[in-house]
Amino acid sequence: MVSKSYGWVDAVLALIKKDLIDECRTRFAFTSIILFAMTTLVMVSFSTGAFVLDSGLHAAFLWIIIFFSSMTALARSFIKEEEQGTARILKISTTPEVVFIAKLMFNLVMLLGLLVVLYPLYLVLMNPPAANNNLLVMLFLILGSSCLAGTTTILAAIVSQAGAKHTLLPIIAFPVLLPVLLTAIRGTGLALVGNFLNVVLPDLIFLFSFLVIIVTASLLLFPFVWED
Amino acid sequence: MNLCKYLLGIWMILVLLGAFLYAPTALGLGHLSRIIYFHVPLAWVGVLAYFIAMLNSISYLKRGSLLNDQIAVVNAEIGLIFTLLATVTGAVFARYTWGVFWNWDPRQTSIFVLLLIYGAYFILRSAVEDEEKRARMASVFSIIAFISVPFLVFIIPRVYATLHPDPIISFESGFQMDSKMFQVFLASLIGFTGIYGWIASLYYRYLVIRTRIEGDLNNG
Amino acid sequence: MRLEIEDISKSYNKKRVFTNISWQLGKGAIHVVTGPNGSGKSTLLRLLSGLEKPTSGRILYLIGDIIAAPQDARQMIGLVSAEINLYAHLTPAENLNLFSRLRGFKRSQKKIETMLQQVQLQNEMERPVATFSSGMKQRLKLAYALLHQPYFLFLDEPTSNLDQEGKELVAGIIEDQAARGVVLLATNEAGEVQRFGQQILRLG
Repeated sequence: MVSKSYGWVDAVLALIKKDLIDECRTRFAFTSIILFAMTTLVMVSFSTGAFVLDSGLHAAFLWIIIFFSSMTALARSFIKEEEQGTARILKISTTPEVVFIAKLMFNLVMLLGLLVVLYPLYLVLMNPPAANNNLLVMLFLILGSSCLAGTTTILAAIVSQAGAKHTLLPIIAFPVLLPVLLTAIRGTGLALVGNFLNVVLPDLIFLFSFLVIIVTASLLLFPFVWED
Repeated sequence: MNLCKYLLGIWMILVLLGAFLYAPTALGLGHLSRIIYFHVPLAWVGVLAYFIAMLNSISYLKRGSLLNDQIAVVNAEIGLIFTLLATVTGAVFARYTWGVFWNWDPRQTSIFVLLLIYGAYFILRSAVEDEEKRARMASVFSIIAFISVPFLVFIIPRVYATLHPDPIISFESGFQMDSKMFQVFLASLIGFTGIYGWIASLYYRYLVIRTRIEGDLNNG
Repeated sequence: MRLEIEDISKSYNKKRVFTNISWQLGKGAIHVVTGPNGSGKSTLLRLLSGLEKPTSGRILYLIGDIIAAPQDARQMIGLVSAEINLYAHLTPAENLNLFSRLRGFKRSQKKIETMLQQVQLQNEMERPVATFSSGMKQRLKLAYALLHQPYFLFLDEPTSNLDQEGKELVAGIIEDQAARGVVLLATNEAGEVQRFGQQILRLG
């Protein structure tokens, strides 16, 4: 019998490491996410270059880029298991919970990697205001991205079991993510203008509670998606 | 069952009469305000149907009976139609009140999200071929999507509070209906819920008969 | 400890694969399931490993006082099958390391080397699995299945890609396993049924 405390932390770490190694060797997901983000950023920068944009618009652009870039890559973590034929070996080797947490962490790493590349470039190309409130802006970016990763992990699993059609992910993810996107855009916009923590605290709390609730629900529901 | 059907018919006729003849017009909008007796109950049923579909999804995951999934689909289909009608009536109202069909007003945004969730639900279902898998995937999705809905309700006042006061049909600013309006409104709410229940019951009867026929075909 | 199969049936979208199969598998005997292609041998092994659920009936692992469903008995089951693939971009050592940790064991270089030696892959440790021949992949699958010393071992046509040496390797594994636990072999080669079959289930 497998007891749930059987050393699952090490199992999760092993699986994350595997995904990262695999990613390093094939470089598919991370490259496509960066390429997509850069293309969109360049388009946005080029077309709005002559104008001074207000912070709300900056926030909107940032999150549009992040959202669509993540859609191109986050489904990969499960779809590639199906395509390579390794989903089954995972199913018989470990518990669904381990698989879920590992994939969630991997998706999070991918998004954080995107932010590391995207945000500085955005600052350079787009010149948003209030570069002195960076910490708060980054907090929103990280928290919002965590919500994105938290929601899309189980949805990506659903998509991979549903004939692995990549285009399905944005369709089913968008309605669920709309509250997150609206709040993240609003909060990021406020932070960019230089507002302090007390003004944006409700938005931060909102994102944090969404994150906790959606990850908990996903963890409970994932076995139904993963196991027959 | 037939008696209920006729009672419902009479009830709805009374509601229609009441909406156009009995209730007064609301502040400044004239006869346009009468849309409230149709638009709001339609939206209410759209949400209720989704809730019931989600409950059946939970049931399916717990017990594995495909019947629960079929009932969920039935409710989702009815809910989709009601939500579509609610969106359209809302857009009509918007056009004649504020001049544009669509302006991302809080109510319009939330009804739109509900429409998207229904759409995503059916698109997801169409992408899975295996019956049992389809039921599982759709059930999990409907539960996850349902979880995000309360969040939408919470953020709307915050995001749009300064943008768009909505005095007539906004319940945050207090219930401003006079008693006659309220009577018709409540009656309409009950009536539309009844129509939903009646359509659902017809659909269930069809489902039962179809399952029985398929069962006979398989065994015979 | 034994495996009880109680009156199981399996259908996919109303298409029936098999019905009313019952069996008890215990230590000591080599079990063989055989039948023509499409009769459901691979399906049966999938059901026993917990990859899918039977349409009706129950599969029970009796482990001491505990009665477990296949999905809870994961760590006592080993499966070798064409559908169970290892990660192509990783080396055999990386693969076995991963699955070792997934199954809850601490990583042990020595243990992995021993496993690879047992299936005669000790010289290929640094090449990614994608470069392996099908025979080598098959032997690696055996190493994977035996990694956690499972009490229940299921082999689905394990000799299909192997040369004579490989076939003898598998024979040795089957006989060892029968002495220590439960082994079930799915095959449609009459020779294998003849040689190994002490308890035989015929499908189709």
